[in-house]
Amino acid sequence: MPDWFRRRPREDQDGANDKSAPAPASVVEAVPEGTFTKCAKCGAILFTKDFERDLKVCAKCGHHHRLTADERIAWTVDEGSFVEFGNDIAALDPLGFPEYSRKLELGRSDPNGRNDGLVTGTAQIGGNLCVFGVVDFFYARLAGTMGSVFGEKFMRAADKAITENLPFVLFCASGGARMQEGLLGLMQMAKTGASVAQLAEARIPYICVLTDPTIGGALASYASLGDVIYAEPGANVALAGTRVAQQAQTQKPPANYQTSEFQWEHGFIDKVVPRKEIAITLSRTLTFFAGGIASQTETKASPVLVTPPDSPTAAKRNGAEGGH
Amino acid sequence: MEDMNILEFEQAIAELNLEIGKLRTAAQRERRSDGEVQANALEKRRDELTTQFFARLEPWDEVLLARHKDRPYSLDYIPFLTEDFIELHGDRLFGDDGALVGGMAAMSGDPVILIGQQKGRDLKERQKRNFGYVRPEGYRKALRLMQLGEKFRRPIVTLVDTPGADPNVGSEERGISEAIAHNLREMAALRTPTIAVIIGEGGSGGALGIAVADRVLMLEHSIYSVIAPEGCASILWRDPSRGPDAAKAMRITAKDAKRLGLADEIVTEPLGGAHHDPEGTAAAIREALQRHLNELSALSPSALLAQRFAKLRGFGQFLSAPFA
Ligand SMILES: [Zn+2]
Repeated sequence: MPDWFRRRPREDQDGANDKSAPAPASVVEAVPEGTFTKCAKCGAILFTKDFERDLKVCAKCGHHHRLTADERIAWTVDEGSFVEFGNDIAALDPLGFPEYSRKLELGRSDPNGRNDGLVTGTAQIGGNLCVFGVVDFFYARLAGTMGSVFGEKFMRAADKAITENLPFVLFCASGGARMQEGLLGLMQMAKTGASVAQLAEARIPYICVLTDPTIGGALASYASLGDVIYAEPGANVALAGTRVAQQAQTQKPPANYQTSEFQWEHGFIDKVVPRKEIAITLSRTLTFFAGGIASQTETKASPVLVTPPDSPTAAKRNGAEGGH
Repeated sequence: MEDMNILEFEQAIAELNLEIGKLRTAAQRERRSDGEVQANALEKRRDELTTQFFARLEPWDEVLLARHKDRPYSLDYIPFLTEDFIELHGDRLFGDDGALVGGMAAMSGDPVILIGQQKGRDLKERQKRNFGYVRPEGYRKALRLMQLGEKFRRPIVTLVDTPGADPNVGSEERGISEAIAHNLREMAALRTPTIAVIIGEGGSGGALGIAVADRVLMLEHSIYSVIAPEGCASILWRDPSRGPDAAKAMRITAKDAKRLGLADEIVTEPLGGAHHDPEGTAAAIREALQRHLNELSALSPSALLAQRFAKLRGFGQFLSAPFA
């Protein structure tokens, strides 16, 4: 019996999360010290205790509130299984961009010692070991944007998935490429895209879960490239930010425009999965891929790197040259 | 002329040219040589001013030059870059995007696939070209042509000139983000030489969607930017009119891209910009293209890919532990 079924967030664990993570924007106007929480969408007043038990999904309207990385980890992976890596690099302000150093300063005082909104590690989901990434939209008020550290952590996580033959599960939440790093920010789209090409070449399953919001350069790169793409209900999933989109429209957009449901309707998302079902869905998905990986292993010439013979890494290793 | 932007400067020069013309005509009519002398002096002064002005261009001037109404577009260059261009149409899925042209051509006898983003000059053509905003069909057509090139080992040259990917309802419905993301992954792994030339506006992911390549060249007065300066300014300062400040902050010029290691070469433009001599500019592009193609064609597909992946994986600037 997989243990995702028993696993429910514990009160004390949630308390710890609240202390360590920046407060989500939704938790405002709560009356006496967080007893109540107001739904960011419908305005319903909810008992914070119930709201947390419901994984921050509004009991009245079903709105999925944004989560911190720690909440996501606590509510998705098997308890205690997450082992973080990737904090051994640090962000720079390569352009000397206005206000960026202040945001990076904010990041440096992160209580978990994290270097970016993208949190990477290994974890088990329903007993399935995987490389697990989650983007914290709240980190250093950087809206989960992709800068150099993001791209490097993504790539290292993907590399780990390749070398250790593990599937890669990624929860996306991002405002896109990080404009404070200029063209270097934009190039993280190319870098993550190349990284996914290497995952594909190594036949490592890559599973994306799009959460609110997944927009701009994020959706136009790594977030659209999953072998399987899930999304949370009602998430903003689009190329253009809502404001930009409104200015540009020549045609009246539908009511669910730029949401998970809209993207699903048009065939760009495999399934819209409510938060309380995501762990079991991922567990079942990983189980599907697990058999495939095992059988591939038998035919592999080299157990070190899962790459076809004339992949770039293999070429470098062997000095092998393919003919024209 | 210190405080002028490039367009105001061009206006002043145009008035000066008018003056020179008048002097010449009068001098000829009245058979006076002092008028001729005056005209020559003015011409000399004009050229000095132009040289001085272009030595001190602000990033915003580069934006205005990159978007200049007379700036040569892809189809203006193609006849000078190649022989026997046969344009191919359609993405084989939905339609044909006028904002992206492509086809088969020969460069000094060697077959290449040529792809370019295309703006329009008069209102009718602008509409046909969607003002250079590329739709999903454009990216999918580009990919189809790139794969054609890969299949028959033809090098791929792309000309980049777009304000961005099309943000309209239809494009969201047909997966504009997926189309770009897909291209990023596939271009990383194409087993044939690829060169991207930024000829005008390198507008964010819309540009990158055809610009992941072994070599990236930039015309001297082209720009390459993570977001349009006006968009950046409205996010940062809630004031799109501060585009010039944002242009400076984001380091969007060819020189900046070269300094950041994200452009491999700057192709020099004639004094005053490419629109003063499209054919000469094309010749400079062609010379650079042939030089790079010669280098890349000498590599085996494996070595080519190894080089490309090393480049893409290296994008970004960050600190590595141990931190000072
Ligand atoms: Zn609600």
